[in-house]
Amino acid sequence: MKYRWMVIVVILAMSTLLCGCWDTIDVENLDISLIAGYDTPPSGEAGKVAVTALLAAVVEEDEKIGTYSAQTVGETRSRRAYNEPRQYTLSQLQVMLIGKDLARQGFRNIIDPNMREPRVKPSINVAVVNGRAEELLHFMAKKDIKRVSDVLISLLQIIPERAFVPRTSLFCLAADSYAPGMAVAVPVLQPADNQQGVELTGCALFAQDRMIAQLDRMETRSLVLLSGKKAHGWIPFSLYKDGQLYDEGTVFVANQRKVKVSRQGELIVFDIQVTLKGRLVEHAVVQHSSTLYEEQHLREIEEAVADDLKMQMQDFIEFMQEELRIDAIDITPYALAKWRQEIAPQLEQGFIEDVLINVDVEVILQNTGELG
Amino acid sequence: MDRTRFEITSKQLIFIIVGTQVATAMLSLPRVVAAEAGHHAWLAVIVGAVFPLAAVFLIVALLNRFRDADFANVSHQLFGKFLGTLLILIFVGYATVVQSVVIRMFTEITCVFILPRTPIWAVSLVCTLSVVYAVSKGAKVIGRLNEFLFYLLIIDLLMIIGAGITQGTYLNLLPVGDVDINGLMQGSLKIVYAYAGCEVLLVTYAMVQHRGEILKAALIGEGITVLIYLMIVVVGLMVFGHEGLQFFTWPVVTLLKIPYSSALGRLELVFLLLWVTLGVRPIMNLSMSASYAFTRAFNLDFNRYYAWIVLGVGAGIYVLSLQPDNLLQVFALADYVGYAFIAISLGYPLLYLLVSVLRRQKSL
Amino acid sequence: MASFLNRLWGRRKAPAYKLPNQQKSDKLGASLDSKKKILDPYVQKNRDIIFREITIKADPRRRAAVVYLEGRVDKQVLYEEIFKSLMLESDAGTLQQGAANQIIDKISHTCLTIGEIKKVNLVQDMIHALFDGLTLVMVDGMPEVLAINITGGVQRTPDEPPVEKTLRGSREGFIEDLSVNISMIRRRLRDPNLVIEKTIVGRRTRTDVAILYIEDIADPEIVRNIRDKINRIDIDGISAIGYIEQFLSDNHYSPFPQFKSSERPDKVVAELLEGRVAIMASGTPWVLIAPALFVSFLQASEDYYDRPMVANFNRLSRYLGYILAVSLPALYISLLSFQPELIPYELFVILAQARSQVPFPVLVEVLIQEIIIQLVVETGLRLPANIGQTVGVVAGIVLGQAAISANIASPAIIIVITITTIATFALPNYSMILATRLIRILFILATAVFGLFGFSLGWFILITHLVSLESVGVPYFTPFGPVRFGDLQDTLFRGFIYRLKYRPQSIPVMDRQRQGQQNG
Repeated sequence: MKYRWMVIVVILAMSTLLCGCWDTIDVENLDISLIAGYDTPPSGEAGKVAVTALLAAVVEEDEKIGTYSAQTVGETRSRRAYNEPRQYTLSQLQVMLIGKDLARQGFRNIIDPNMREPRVKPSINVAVVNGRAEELLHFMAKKDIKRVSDVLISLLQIIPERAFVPRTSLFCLAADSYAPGMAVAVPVLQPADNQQGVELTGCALFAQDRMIAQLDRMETRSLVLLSGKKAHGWIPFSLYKDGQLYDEGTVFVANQRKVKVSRQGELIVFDIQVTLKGRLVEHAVVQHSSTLYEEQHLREIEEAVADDLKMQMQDFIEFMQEELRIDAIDITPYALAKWRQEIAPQLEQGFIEDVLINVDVEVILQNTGELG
Repeated sequence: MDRTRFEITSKQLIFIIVGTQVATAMLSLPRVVAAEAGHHAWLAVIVGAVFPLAAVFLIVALLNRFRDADFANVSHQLFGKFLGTLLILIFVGYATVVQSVVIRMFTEITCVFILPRTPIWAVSLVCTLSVVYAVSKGAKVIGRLNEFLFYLLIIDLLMIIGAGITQGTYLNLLPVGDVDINGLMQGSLKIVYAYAGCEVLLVTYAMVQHRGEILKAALIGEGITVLIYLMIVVVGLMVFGHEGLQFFTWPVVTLLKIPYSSALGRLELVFLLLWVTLGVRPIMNLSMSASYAFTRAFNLDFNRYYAWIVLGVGAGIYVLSLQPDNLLQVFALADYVGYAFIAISLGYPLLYLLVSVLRRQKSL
Repeated sequence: MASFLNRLWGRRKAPAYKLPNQQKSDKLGASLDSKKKILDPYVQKNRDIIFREITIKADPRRRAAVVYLEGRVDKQVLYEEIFKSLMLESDAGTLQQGAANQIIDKISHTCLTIGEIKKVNLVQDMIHALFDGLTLVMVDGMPEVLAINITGGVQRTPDEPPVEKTLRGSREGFIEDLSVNISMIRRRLRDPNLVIEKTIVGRRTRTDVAILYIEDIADPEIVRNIRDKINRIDIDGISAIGYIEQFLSDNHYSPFPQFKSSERPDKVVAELLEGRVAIMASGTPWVLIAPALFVSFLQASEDYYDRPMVANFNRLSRYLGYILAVSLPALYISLLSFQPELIPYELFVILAQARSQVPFPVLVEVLIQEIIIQLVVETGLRLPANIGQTVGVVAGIVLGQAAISANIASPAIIIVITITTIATFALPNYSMILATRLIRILFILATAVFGLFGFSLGWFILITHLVSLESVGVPYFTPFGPVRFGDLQDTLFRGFIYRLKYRPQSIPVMDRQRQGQQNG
């Protein structure tokens, strides 16, 4: 008897609940935003931010690009709600593009709504557009690329597999750029020179909530190697002997970094050891005819690459310490781990310019491919 | 009375204690502790464990003195019918409030991450109903359920560890030496809320089959809890650093969203999928203890009244859980629950011990 | 008032069951005529009762009769061993020696070359013996009647079990005859400790029911529990062993089978060796095995005949099959209507494109397909094999394809439902398949309201339910809850046979040791 009543109570409760499927929105009623671009509003329009969304092709044939500008990101969502037939969802957002102008102005107002929204995953990739994000998307769509989203998503997702350019997630951007005394690097995209698609031109550095510098490809490579972000890439080399070009070619390497921190009196010294491991891709012996698989020759190539890179890195460190005055290569935590209470207060005032940073590069070519 | 429905093994006691403690508090724990204790938050976890350990020792010391260690029975023996019943009712009331806070927290997390449009009353209602269903089956079932769910908890913890190892750096934990004693103490007090739950031992003590193993089991349970909390706090610190932790309401969930994972788009939803079943454990255990204590306090027939009392406690939890207006109030309430926990879990055994020592001397 | 309520709930006092003959507990009279008078009402109404008066060769003056049910007896034996022995071959010398009142014993001792003979002297017993299929031999002047068991008649020969098929196991399956079934067990298990208790259930059907267990392994508590429950059954009749199953089970509100049934003697022997109890009833080619655990419904006897590595893989895929069967349509709903972020975006776009053609919400789409599949399965079960196949083809190919082209269903849901159905039938036990089908619908409804949250809570309630179940006092969900690590090697996994030195902990037994220690 008791059981019967319990069952009736539960069934009644369940059937009441069945009346409301509060969260149900079937997929076909969604505007699935795959890429979001953030810009300053185009001249003549009011507001602070323009949000461009690239929507997946569900009902329509092609992907759709729509821009709304308003005072805040939330307001653009509300404007979208008035104008679009379907529910706008961020749950499949894969890439976030930031226009250069907005990046220079500061992007706190676009990080906050995206980090706060539980449906946006913080692991989405972020890129800065050299120009306007909206224009880049329209440019790509006009170039008859059927799926703009595919190109951009995979381009950013597999950066570290092929180039020394950092891949940055929304979370890294948010967390590291707010850490005092630290800067975070974000890849920079622009329409390709040959007008066919997009290309990576290097990276942009963000500190606090704005972009502070833009680096070219060489500097970006130094930054990636120094900061120890895992990447693979091709590095060309030329080998000189007695002032004459003796050999040139390319190596394909993966990087690794070790940091040691020590103290000489008040001076904090960082020793960064960068190790590159990989293989020889090609070389052309210009003035040499003896056997190619001499170990000595391989050593010379390794050294040539290492010397070259070391010089570039030292230049970059100098540039970082004297002009940027901020830690872009993620070494401050090593100092903090030893002297946290002492260093933490002075990070705001500037820390990286007063330390000594030594770099050592080692290149290890493990094989030479199928040819000797 | 059908005693067999309320028998548990000492092994199940371990999991009941773990289950009552490790639930909703775990998701916000690193933030709460790191706010006070900085990068030494993990030390605070260990220092904070003093409270539940003391409570366990006191409860066991108290109930060991009685042949029939039933909580209601002991209360009646020491304080007489009226006062004893009053004390039990206070305990039941405390348990109900704790449960309502837990269920509200649970509901809020669900609503934020999984069901943003569903009204709170609906989520809270189905939770309460599931709990009532489980509790009406008796302590034996609750024990087994805790045991089974513990292994699900391990899967969840493995996910956290995996994310922590791939995303975090040990640098955030260093240096170990420079301890800020004041912050550490503050942090240890803050963590007490997370340890609330070991007071179920007051009621479950009488249900365990082998009394000799109770102390051992309870201590192992506490140990497992401390280990789990330690791990969560360490992972949280490794990934976010103690300053970064402050940005996120539930850092443990957020840290699962950080890794790039292509196969399963969202690790945190998989985590929450398992966690939903884990989050109701403390409600279940406390609700069972409260209903049992209540039934015994008035010496009611279990077969006839237990299910109705469970339903009544469930209704109480449900109504109370709808009272706070927003999440911040819930967090504030959670702090008060932490203090109430200290009062109940240390105060009750101390009071009872005192009275029992006095009484025995008088009678001798 | 109380009587009114009782009538409202449909409770009425049952009228006591009576034999048509009034003097049921009376002793039989000595004369043949008095016995004939008792049987007369039955003989007149039932043409299959043969009342044959005979003359015994050794004692021609004494009247005698043989009474039997035509069709229930083995006629060959009846004619050769009873009629021929009594009428032609009985020896006057032996039969006429000694006291006249021992003649009935003499007949049984010297004339009838039959094994199972018992003496009956109550009216009730005589009538029951007749209708149980025994052959009665009655002699004038004796108050006792011989009841001879030569039951036979037409019955099925043992055949390959139609439901529980196997590749490497024995091909023998139980049949409807109890003694044949028992003999199959005896042939495989020659342990003198194998006990076979017999009892009769059903006042009118008087079905023979046997309880089998190995005396020094099975837990006496479990045996007593089952015996008591079977003896307590008071019903007019049972037409299959399923009735007994429902009387024995503790939790009637559960969809889960709390007893395992099998039609394979090799399986039953394996279960008996693990300390379980088997229950047989005549008329059903299925044997009930108790206590049953949840995991045992996911095990096939073949697991033990194949190599452990392969068997483990099969077993794990069956667990996966169970999870899919319960939750795949529910997951589909919760992913498509609630948590699209869990789907990789390429797949998500494809699913959304397919869905955009369908006019129904996801829930309705799933329910339509689910109901169609339920009906197809039901139809296929009852139809003769060749028509069933046609229905399957029509339903599967034509309906599926047509539904997609008519935009009633998206291709994804057809795939989901197909996988679910296949996964359901990967389970080795039909009772579990039925339970799974019901639970699946409940999961669909739960996720329709609460998405993934409902899905989780659904599993929580399901596990709570499983944990709270008990089969004859043994926790149903062991070794998962309560956890018994020792048993995992023969439940979740299938360990090496030589390492399974002890019987499962989950089931209480008297003798845990299973193998000598030197094995392996």
